[in-house]
Amino acid sequence: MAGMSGKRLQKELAKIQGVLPPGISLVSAEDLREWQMDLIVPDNPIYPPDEKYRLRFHFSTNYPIEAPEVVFMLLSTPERKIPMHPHIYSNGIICLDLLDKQGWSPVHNVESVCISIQSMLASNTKAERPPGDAEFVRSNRSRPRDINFLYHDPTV
Amino acid sequence: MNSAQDVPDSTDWLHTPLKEFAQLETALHCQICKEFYDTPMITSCSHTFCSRCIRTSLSADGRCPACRTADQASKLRKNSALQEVVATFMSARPAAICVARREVEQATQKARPGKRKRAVLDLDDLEQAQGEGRTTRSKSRRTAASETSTVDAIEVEDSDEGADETYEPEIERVPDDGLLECPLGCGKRMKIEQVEPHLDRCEDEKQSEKREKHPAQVNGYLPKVTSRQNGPPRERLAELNYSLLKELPMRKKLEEIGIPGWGSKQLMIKRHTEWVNLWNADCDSDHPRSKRELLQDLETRLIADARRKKSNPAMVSSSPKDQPIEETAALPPMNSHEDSNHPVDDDTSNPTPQSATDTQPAPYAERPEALPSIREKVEAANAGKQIEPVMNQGFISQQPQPDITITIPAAAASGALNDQEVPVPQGSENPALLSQGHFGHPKQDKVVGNRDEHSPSGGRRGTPCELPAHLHGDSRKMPMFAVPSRPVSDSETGGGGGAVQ
Repeated sequence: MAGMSGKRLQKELAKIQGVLPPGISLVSAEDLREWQMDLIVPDNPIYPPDEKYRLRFHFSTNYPIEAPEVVFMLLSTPERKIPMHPHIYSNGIICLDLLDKQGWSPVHNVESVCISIQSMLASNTKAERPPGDAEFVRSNRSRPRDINFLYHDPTV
Repeated sequence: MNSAQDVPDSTDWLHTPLKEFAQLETALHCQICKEFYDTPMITSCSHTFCSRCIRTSLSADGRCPACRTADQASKLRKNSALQEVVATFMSARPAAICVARREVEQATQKARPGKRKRAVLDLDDLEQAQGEGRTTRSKSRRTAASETSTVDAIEVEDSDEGADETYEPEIERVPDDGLLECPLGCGKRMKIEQVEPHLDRCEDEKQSEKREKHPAQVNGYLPKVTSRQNGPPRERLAELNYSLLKELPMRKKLEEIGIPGWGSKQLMIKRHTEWVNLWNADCDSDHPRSKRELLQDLETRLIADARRKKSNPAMVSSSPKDQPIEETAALPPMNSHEDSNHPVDDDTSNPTPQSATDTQPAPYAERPEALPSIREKVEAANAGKQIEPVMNQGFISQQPQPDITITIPAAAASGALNDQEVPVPQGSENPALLSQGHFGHPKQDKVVGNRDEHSPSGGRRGTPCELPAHLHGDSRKMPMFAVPSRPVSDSETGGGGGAVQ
């Protein structure tokens, strides 16, 4: 289990530094624990094509057996907002079954996660936050992986 | 991390005329570890992964990583054909990539005829060509021989690199150097005048040489089919139903199969799972390793795991459920026990009232250099002297995170919680893998296994934003790097590993 993440991430990094799908770019990967990626969402008026969104990946030692922690980051320079989406809280936490214990599978990788999030944004029609966003953001102290989400919405 | 450059990768092919080989190579990679299949196993849903990978994955999840069908490790079957393909590809790869690169190089040379810039690239290629010359030659020599011997040759290259690698070319490299080969067939080459004296010593030398480079390969051959020859084929280990096992029978069980039985139950579960995976994967393999190697592997894994967790406090603090396991897993110095069988006693396994509820973080896990000094103090303590607590600046300065408090495995808290729990039905799982999946909102306390420590406190149900139980004000504030309240006793001093729970 342990020790697996290093090699695997190196391989992924090598690949990512080569070619990535359009709209997805690697920002930083200083070590094998935290990477940052930028996303552009094509063809959706909610997300202007010149606006980028910063994703932060956090890998545990058990990656890829365990899912990485993936959140959106709020930055001022360069400006990175948290995209409006009914399943993205304003503190950047994403409610996506793929990122949770039940939905994760070791065959996923950084690239596939980015693609999934990109397509989740691209297909979005509602520029809104999830219900209860304000209170959740105010009081949440747990890491995303420790929150139990209820995946109720198979349409997105 | 610096090995990133010399790791063979499918992208090696991309800028050569053999671009398509990149895909071929990717297809021969396990989807979990992204490396060439190592002992590929096929699941009942017909997906293939390395033995080790799929076993680890199944023990974590119980489902096929590719299609999410439920599966069991006992249903895995070996995919020998694929193993052969991988092995053959790996042996052919260096030659092929060498040719491909040469092609590229020649093209660039033609483009710039003035400059001969072979030097750099060639060194590389030469080495590679040597390596591959070896395998291909030995391969062709044995084309008539069974396929498995080819497999032998490759596996060695993978696992036994190092000192032998440098030795080997001496044998192989020198066909036309005017030297004579030893007539007794020891394979040595020497000047004519050296042959006479050599003949006297040849037998002796051969013996000693054999002894010293036993695990090495001769002509790419593997004289090491060790364990399987020595004993009957190994039995695969069964997985245990941990929830049904009490701590004591479990400890026995662990010792029965030859792995250490100290520590808390959680720790034992982790060790056992890891061991079962390691062992069974080894049973699948054509080249089983000795039990000792496996035990070492197990140890390094657990320790590496703990180290990395430790050096990443942010992650640690967020995962109190892992914390006790990781930290204690690393601590007791297993390396001093060849059989690793007898209980190890140290601060984490001392049943102090404190460690019975909280697991002490290991202050030394990330400071290996601190251990000797601690040992000294321990010895002093054993000799009856008074010792100061081992709280040095290093540790103090490492506890800046205000919200990292040692979390009590909230058995009591969550017990209370569970009583008022109304399990929330979960959305149906989406089997499609790369699809967007389902989304939703934080749900209250669907108590899954041991995740209940993290469930929000029970007082306010139905909102997504409760504080987790352990963050409530009344949680016990413990210094992150406190010293064990009892002196750390060395493993040699014995004493049964106490229960930590």
